[in-house]
Amino acid sequence: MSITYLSLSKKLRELTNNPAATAISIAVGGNCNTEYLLPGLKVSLAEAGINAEIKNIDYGSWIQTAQQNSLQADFWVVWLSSLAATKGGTATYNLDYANINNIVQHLITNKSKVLLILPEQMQISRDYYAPLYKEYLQAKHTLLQTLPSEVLFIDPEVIHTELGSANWYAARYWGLSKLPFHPNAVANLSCYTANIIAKCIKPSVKAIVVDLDNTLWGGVVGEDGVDNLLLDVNAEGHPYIQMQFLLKHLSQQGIPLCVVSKNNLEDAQAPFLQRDEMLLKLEDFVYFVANWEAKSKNIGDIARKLKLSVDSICFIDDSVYERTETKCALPTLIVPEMPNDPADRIATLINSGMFVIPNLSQEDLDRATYYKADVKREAFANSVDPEAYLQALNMQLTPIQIDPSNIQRVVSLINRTNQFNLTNKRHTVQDVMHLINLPGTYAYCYQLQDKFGDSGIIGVLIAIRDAASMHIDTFLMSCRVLNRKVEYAIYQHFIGWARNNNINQISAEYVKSNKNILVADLYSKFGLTIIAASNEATKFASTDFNDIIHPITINH
Amino acid sequence: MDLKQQVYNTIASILPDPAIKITDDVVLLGYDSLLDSMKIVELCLVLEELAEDLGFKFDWSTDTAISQSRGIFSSAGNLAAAFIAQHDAAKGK
Repeated sequence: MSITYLSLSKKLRELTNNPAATAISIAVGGNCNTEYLLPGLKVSLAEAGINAEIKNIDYGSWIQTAQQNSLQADFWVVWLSSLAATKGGTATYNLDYANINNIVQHLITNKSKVLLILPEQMQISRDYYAPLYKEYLQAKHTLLQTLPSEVLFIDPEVIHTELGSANWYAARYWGLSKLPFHPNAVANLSCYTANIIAKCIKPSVKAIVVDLDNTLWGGVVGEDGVDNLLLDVNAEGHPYIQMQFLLKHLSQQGIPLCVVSKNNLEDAQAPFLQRDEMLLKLEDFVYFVANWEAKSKNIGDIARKLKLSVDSICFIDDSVYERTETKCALPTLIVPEMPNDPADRIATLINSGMFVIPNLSQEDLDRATYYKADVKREAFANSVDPEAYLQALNMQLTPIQIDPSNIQRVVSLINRTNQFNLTNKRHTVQDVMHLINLPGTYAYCYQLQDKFGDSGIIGVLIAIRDAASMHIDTFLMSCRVLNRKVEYAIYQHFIGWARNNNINQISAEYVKSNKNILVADLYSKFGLTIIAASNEATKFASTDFNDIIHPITINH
Repeated sequence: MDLKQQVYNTIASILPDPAIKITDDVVLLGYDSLLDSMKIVELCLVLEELAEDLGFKFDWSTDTAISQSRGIFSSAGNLAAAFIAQHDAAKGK
């Protein structure tokens, strides 16, 4: 067993404060003793660079606490145990589904993310013929079917299956502390739950680059020929079709797919055009690169085009040589080890946990589409004069006040943006709500559209008023829209607002990080003056509110 | 080191203040106890580990285990006695 409750408790005692960590708040409650989830949540999140302030709600009182709004938290972890719902496996399930639904909806309306730990299989309900088995399935089914779609479900059976029943059932701990299963199993469950929370905040994989030969099909297209590739789902082609199914699923979740293959382009594309069994189609890929150059070079080029750092790109290749080459050249690239047997590969990828994508906003779902529009922009940019390109895009920026309807996207951007981020402050929903409620705050996010489509909400600027001056607390922009002068339009909107609100000074700060050197001189370009500088940060100020020239129409 | 001292050291190892001296009459469970419910679970786990290292299975889940007056967690002395008794029984002493 990889994680034990004692090892987590030890790590918890040794945990030191990380000032650079993202701060979040979590409320934990349910119908059993949930405090045992805390060490795993705290430690695992700390290891993911997240500082979680966790409040445990007394056994059985989570509904009351939520109803009274007495605890505001970014995340609620609600644990509905079978043992607790059945008086230790001695009665039928007592779960008030309608009330649970109301409370969960209430939490979601209040901008909390809800993770619900589903009822566990009890020892007494071992199989169909045992007591409470059908009720157990019914309870899970009802919760899955009736709760809002925003709920992130945690199925304890994932851990049960992994650990085995010998390491799972421990009735003595139910008697002692109302723990539904062994503390070590609870430790694993809490770490799994923490991983889901971490992925909500910092998704690890933002794009996938995949090889073709012996990865998406069996065989080498250039040597074996298109007709001889293994793609029969009922025979040896099954693992390859399953790989395509997984990638198609991830693409539908907004993860852009790209191909990097050592092949002639015509050969590489032939199976997509000639073999009906292929689940993936050419249009599923944002970039399709087939040539004879080092794969690391091609992946580096794709990263630049996607405007993503290499550490958020996953490269899937059956060849140990290619995995080693890319990993050596791009050490931060995510390169999962692939078993030699194609039949084992899907399990390896799924079990790695790297493809957990719990945060499916419309923006997330549309991300792959945005990237495909970027490819068209790129082609257009290459066909016209650089000066004329930005004008010809017909960009329109729509400033939108930050409010509960867009705050999840805003917080997601705040916590995910590294390169175009002036202060690198990480804010929770509650933090942003606090800022926007301060008198005189300028708090906007910005939607960008052009002739190739809608890029969605791509930037955030929050400035706090102090008498007649404004201080920029947060200024960031999605790397998807870099090099289009969008930041100038955003700043233009801000200074226009400042003029209209009798502001006579603007102050701002650039706080250096490992990734934001790109914006080190942004405020200087805007005409602000440096008033203080150190190795870590530069402070700026300006009393000049003159208009800035940019090629974007600002919708008011 | 005798077994009783090992049990006491085990209890001390999970306390927030390692300087606290464990004696026979230290209360482990309930009002005035040194251990909260989370620490009791930790104690059970470390004792199960210790017993495994010593080659026997420690069963603390008797009918009266969590009784504050009669259970094996009522005091450090009772816990050590139960641990030693199970150890000796397993070893045929």
